[in-house]
Amino acid sequence: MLNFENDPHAFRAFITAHQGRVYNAILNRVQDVKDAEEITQDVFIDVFRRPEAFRGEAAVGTWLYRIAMNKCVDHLRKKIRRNKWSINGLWKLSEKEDEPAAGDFFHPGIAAENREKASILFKAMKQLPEKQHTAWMLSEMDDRSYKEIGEIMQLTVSSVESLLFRARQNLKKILSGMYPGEL
Amino acid sequence: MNKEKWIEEILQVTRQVKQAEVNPYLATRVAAALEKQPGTAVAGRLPMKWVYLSAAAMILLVALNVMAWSRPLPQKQSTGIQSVMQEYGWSNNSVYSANF
Repeated sequence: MLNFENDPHAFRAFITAHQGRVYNAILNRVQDVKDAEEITQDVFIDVFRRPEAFRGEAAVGTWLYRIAMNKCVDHLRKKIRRNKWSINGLWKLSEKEDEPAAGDFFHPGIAAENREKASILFKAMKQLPEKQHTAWMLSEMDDRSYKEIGEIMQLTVSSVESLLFRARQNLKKILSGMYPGEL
Repeated sequence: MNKEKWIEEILQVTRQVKQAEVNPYLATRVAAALEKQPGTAVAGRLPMKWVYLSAAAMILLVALNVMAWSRPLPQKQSTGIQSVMQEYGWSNNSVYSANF
């Protein structure tokens, strides 16, 4: 069982061991460096405050991912609500509701020559339904197995397979609409 | 470039994403946030029995106040002036019109 109340050094070591993967997963999901840092911080605060929530049913890393993904979904929903009721948002009521308003996202882990393509992909990913987006991101960008994705998202392996299949189909459809024409 | 090839190229970008660097001060920031947030700090220091005792004292004070305000005030007995008036045979307050 996890308990860091009386051992700040162990907690620091725990953060150091997991921060990279947690931060990157959050960054890929929310597509904003500042928000990703804040959410990562919140994840570890939650771990410190409620270590009893970890019941050992899955690996610690999987449990951390689950907290992180739930926090990302909450964050994105809040962002959509905020944008919807902001002055700018009121002018954009005709736009799709499940798409948070944001500029182009430049992932810090992408080489300069791929930035343009990555920006198109991230824009397309934003248009996917929540679950498809999370599953796609965990599988393609984070290299997680179907079993791990199932544990993180609390789904069966066959549901994950089907989510990923639909995510790929939808992404192709969205990208097809973004095709700039013969270059 | 045809559409299918272009789409496949875009989808392949996910394979070329490297891990982004984490803020090196993340652990320090988490520790600072835990120190700053009152929920943890106060709950850690203040024993619960004092919280319950303070709450009980407040409730008692409010109850006493309510009781004091709801009780009717006792009639004042202004015997001093009334007895002087009776002595001089004044039945009302017409002191200034009396003939001495």
